[in-house]
Amino acid sequence: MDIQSYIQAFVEILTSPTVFYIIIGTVLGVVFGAIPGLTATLAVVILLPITYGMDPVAGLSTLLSAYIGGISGGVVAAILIGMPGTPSSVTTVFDGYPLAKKGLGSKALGMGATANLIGSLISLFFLILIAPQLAKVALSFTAYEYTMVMIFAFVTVASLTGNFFKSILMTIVGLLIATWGFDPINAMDRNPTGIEFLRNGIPAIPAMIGLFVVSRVFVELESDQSKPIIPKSKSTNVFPKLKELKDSFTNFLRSGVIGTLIGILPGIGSSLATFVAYDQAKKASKEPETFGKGNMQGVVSSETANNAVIGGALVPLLVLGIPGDGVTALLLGGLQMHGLQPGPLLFVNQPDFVVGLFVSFFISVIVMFVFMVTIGARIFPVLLSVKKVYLLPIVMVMSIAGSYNIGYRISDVWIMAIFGVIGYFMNKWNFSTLPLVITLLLGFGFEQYIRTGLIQSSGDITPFFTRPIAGSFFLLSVLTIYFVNRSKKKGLLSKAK
Amino acid sequence: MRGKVVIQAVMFILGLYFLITSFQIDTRGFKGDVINQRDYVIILSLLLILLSVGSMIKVYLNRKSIKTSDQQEDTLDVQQTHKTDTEDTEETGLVGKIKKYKIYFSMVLVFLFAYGFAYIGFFVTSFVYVFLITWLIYDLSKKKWLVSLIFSATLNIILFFLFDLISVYLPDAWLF
Repeated sequence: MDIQSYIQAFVEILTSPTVFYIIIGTVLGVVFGAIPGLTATLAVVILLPITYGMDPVAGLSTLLSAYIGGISGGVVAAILIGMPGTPSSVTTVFDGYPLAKKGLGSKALGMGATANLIGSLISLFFLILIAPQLAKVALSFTAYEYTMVMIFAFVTVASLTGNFFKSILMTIVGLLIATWGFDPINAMDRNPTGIEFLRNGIPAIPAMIGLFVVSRVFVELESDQSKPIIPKSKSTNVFPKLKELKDSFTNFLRSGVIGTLIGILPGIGSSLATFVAYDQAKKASKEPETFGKGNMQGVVSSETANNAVIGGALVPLLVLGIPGDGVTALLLGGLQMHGLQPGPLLFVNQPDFVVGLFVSFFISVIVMFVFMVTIGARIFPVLLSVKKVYLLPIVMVMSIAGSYNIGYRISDVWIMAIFGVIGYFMNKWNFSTLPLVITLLLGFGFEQYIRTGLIQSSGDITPFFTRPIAGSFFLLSVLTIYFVNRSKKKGLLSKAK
Repeated sequence: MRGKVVIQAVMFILGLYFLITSFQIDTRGFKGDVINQRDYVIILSLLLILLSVGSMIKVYLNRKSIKTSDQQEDTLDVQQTHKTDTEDTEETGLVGKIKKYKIYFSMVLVFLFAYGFAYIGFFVTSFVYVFLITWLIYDLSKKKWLVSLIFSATLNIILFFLFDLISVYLPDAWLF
């Protein structure tokens, strides 16, 4: 993976239809991110079945572009209407909306888009720097290390998504549901329901569409849908000045590093990253009292951090096959759909794919910035005036068509609908869906690793704790539970949620 | 209180179900397997049962604080009931019931769509679904049925050409 291979991949992508797919993915993502209620997850879901027939680089680049666009688009509604388009733009509202009320909405939007660009590029830099090195380390991983890494992922996701006890319950339920189908060691049939279409287990992607998208539509149906999302407004003069960029340099760098590092940890997500970055920007400011009243640095810290999470989240996904949040879980599904197994061997066996994905990341970020400050700034006010009464049926129809197109099975649509209802009730009773999604995706592998490890050690469990890396992850899991509970007591996380 | 433990109760039953059905799992296989395919399910089922019971006990022990919140919820319920009663006096019969249980009706519509599109055809089912769900969101207003119908027809015409353009495959069915 030298500089030559990056240049070659760049030229190949620019001269192939992949660049067109990247543009489509990014624009769709930005539009979805900009509309409250529609998220990056939904944009990825809609594109997932369409990418089935593409080559892996084109397919995954499209999905990644939708992810980047989706996170970036959240800045629009946060500034223009004081309503975060995505959960990761909550802190953008604090200063973005007051700036808009002062008549500086366009300026804030331009600065927000610039922050998105710089945050993404910082995280891409770290991704290119860290991921291949971590992959080399991960090549020495055995079943013990993988088991402990997965337990760490389950614990962090459970700790950081709502009530810990409830999330652990959902994790166990997910692991149990993942046992349906054939067991990974002896290939014995496990189908407690006796229903024929569950003979091969629950496919994760339709279940994810149900849990993330269909349940969301049900939730949205309960609110008033007849009103437009925002009143119409105008946006002009969006480019930030060079002096403003210079003044924000430290903030860009600090928030970018915070976002990337938090993004690497599974389950934490961009919401917390933005809160930490915002808090640090406020502490470092000479005018902390102006934060929350329309300080541009508040927008910069928030938007740089939430985009920096993207590159960070791709590190565990590509190196270990561990998704950190809902969108990366879908990306993992996309990788599996294209016959690619993320993990250290991906860097050894498919270096062209990895380089292609990194280059697509870069192109998508540029496309996102250009689109947001040129066309986007003009069409968003119009777009946000569309009533949700028309959006929700479209989302539902696309989800059904999308679920069917993953494997051309009617049963997938049923699974989507069933998990949609389950997701609605989970939402209603404050159960996070993410632990269930993560275990549906990783449950099969987890069983395989834990049982293989025990076979190799003849039933001795000590290697899971005494091998250096496995033991470290066990320690990290324990520390995560401790620190998260302590932080929750301080009220930081409850504020983030 | 009942509402607070309903999911835990469902999980407890689910754990029992997995535990009971796990005994049907064939244990044949690799001899050195320490935890076989059945043991793994049994361990997880027992964990689920224990955690569900633990969670219910936790809720029970915190019942004092829950009682306070229940009282607040009751107050809200009274307000909501009052609102619903008012609505019921305005509209009764099937339309009133559908409006009251809008969310559950929309769930039924999704299942009917999932069932219908495999046999009748995607676009026909989608046309009916989009019309009904849009009209339902409009609270079955008599003024909005035509708007819903036009929206559904337009959307499905667009989807017909869009799916053809981006090669979205749909099942062969009775109609289209």
